[in-house]
Amino acid sequence: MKRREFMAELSSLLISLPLEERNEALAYYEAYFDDAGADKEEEVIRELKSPRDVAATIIQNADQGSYNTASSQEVPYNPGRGQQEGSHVNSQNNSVLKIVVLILAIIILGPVVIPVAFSIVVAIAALFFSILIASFAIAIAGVATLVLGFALLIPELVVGIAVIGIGLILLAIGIVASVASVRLCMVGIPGICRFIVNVCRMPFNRKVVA
Amino acid sequence: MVFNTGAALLDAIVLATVSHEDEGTYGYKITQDVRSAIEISESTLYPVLRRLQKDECLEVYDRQIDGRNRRYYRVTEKGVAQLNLYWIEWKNYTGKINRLFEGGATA
Repeated sequence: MKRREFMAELSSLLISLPLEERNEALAYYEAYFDDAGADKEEEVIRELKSPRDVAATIIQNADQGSYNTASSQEVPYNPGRGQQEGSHVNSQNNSVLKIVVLILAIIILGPVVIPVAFSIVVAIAALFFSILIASFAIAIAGVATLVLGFALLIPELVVGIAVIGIGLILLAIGIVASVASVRLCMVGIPGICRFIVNVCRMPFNRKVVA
Repeated sequence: MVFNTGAALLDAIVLATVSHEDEGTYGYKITQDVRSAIEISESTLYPVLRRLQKDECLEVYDRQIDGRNRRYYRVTEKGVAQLNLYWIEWKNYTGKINRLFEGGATA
């Protein structure tokens, strides 16, 4: 790495600093290279390790701010302290921003999203309910046909037996369908509820991850 | 080096180094002088100089050298007072440590 590349990278790494602090640090290192001389350029770059290391040292200490050297003996040297406070403030700003965005989203999208979601839920519930009712109806029709079959046994034995057979088949289909649709509701409705809750929770989950 | 150099000691060393030059001295030279005494990386000193400057222990001025500005650091009155405080504290501290060593295994 050459001096020019080194300084360019350092400059971009210090972008978070106030302009004055950044210019001051860059001027210092430019002068440092000048004073070391062109023949020591490589040595200085090797000693400084990387722009990243230099930038980290500067930013750490800039965050920490100036402390009065008269009391510095009592101040434990803790270079990480300033940085932690900085990132804490950042994440607070972040969550405030997210809450604002969320509220705006609710105000703007609410009138559309809430009725649409509500109708989807109602439609799915109605679908399940109608399947359940249809299954019961088939079973009831089976029972009715069975009764009719017994009634027909006396005038028309063969027709009566056939109708009883149809009635039994309908009853069997109805019972199986009823049991199946009850199971469907038991599995399906909580599943849909969980899905909706998860969808509503999504923005909050992202916040926790970030 | 076996022993760590804390922030206060580093401040003291830099103040002492700069105070040797009545006309003031510049970043590269300060670094070389400090490095003749203790092992520090070249990037350590900029934040120290900046902090001492903000605390008004050091003042800076620019001087024209070979057609460019070179920033010089000079110890202020407050810096001198601070350095004297460090000097007294250091003598107390090393005196106590020395007495511990002298009463130790080799005696």
